Amino acid sequence: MKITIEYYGIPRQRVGIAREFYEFDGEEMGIHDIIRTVAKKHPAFEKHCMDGDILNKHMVVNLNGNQFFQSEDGLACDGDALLILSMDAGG
Amino acid sequence: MSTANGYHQQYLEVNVSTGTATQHELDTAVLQQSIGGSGLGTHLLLEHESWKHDPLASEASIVFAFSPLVGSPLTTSAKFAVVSRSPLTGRINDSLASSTFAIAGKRTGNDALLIKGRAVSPSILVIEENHISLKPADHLWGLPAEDAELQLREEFGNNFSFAVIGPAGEELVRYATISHSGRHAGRGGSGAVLGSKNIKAIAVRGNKRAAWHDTAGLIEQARDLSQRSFGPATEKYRELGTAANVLVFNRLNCLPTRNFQKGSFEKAEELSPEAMNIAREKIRESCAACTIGCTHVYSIPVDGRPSRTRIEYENLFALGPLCEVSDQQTVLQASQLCDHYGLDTISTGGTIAFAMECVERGFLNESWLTFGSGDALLQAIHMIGRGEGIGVRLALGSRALALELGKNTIAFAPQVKGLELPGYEPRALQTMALGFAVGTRGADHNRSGAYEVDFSEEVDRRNAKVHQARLAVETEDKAAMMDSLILCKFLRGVFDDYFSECATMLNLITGWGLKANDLIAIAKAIIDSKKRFNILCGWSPEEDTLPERMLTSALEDDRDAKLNRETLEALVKAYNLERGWNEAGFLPGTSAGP
Repeated sequence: MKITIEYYGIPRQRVGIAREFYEFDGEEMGIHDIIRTVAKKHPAFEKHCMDGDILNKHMVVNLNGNQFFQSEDGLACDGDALLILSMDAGG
Repeated sequence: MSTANGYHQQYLEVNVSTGTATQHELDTAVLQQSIGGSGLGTHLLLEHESWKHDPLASEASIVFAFSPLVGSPLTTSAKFAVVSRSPLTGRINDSLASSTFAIAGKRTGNDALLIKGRAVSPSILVIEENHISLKPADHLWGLPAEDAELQLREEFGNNFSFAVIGPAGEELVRYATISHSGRHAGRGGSGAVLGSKNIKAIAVRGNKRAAWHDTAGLIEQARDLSQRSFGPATEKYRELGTAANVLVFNRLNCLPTRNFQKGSFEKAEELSPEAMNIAREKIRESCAACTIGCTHVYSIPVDGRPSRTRIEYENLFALGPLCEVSDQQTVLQASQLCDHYGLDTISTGGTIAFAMECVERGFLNESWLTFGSGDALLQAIHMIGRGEGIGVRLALGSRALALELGKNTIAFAPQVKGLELPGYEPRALQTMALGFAVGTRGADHNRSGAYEVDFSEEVDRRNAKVHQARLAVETEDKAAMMDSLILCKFLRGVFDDYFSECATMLNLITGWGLKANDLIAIAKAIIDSKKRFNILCGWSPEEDTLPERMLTSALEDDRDAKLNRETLEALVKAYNLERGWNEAGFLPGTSAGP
């Protein structure tokens, strides 16, 4: 399966790119595992956006611009876009 | 009267018609029920029956309210609230701003300054503790607030702090701001209220300090809070500022574009802080007593001359996508012009975008005023600020313009209760839609943080259910407390247990021994007070809604983002009941109105 990871706010600052593509075995994958893969690839992201092996509470994940996941419990499928962004929206 | 640490237990009523001042005591019970800031300001407006008067009438009151936290070492606590009846909405308006004016104002020995009357000529109101005087301001009249403030500092010295209006306040633009040190009490037109009193500036100075209940504990708490304010909860504000929202909102189709016809803007990237950081020099600034430093000031050469402008998400959204203007330089220049004249950027952009659509649809004969035209945007701002041509009509806001034009243009005027919507597309953020509809000062993102609910896994943001009313109430309660304590909302992410920590801070200062539940009850009572004020002003349930367009058509670029009248009405009803009001939104005992 192929998915797109899009970075916004602080995650983008840490990773240094707007988006990248990942390829995994199987037809679906847990968001938690995807996040861990991203963290492994990007040490600055792991240092600043993670709390252990989960995203810190100031980050949030969104699937395809629709559902938000704070618990990383969801699943992503082939063709999905996973958005990782800073939690606070205020302005 | 018992004494209350953290307060002076008095406020000063100033009549600028007569140049006299009266000191009034504030009882501890009143302070415990209103805290300070927005809460105290609302209490004083009610006490002075300010609902009875036109907001720009001589008799109308405007309150500058401080708080128990002002002057303490707690980060972001140097804030003040400006509370009056709004000339834009006719309802309650509480705008907040930051920095040394709050500290110096409280050092006058007053917890609030209430101003009434009308000076015979343009004046500077000077308040040194309980002594007041009026000085001529003819030489400052017409100056931008920033220039006037610089001049005042030269004339009065650095011991004074100043709240100043720009030309828009003098022209009574209904969304003129009051400025201090480059920050604005921005929404709802408090600048016009001060302008109507012929007051160009208020200068404050004093040496009085309120006592603290537990100084050592307070210093320890302040140290801990400052430490946390350096952490990841505020990282976004420090590195990118609120403008970081541009790309996120665009991706989620909640970036209002083309007068709320669309939720995304093809050229949003150009206006992102990520792009501006590459293209421009930038410095960061902080308000007094703040450790966050969220203010991002960009270089903006105009006609070859160097200059700078502060940028926030709301400026970018309102003067960029909303008017379909993508040129970075133009949008920054437009933002700078709003500062220059002293205009609320949201209402300025909202009103101009509405006028652009009216032109496009043949309702307004100003053919130059078209979506996407940066020149038109800049010209329109100049005309509003100077009170020229169409600017005179735009200066009244989108609701007034729509009512004047007729032909049901009100259906797409981007306002609630007359206050233009901020940059959160309500069809794509439906808990926020409720927050906008019921907001006592109109559509506003600072009095309702309901967007936080929409950006969580708790709800489907495009398919609201009535249980979300409770969540909207909770965010509003938090905001009411924060605006009364007063602390910056950018701190909210650092609290693990918001109301408990607020109670701890307040108790260290006052010694009141309040619990989290006490503060929740006080927050609810403050919102009740604002609602009571509105009811006395003539509020009716029909005001708690959204523009018809948002209830009858989906977003052009996200057909799943749609909201209908029945859903919104059910949400509003649930909200009213959650507040302990009746279904229509009247407080117990107020259904008959004033």
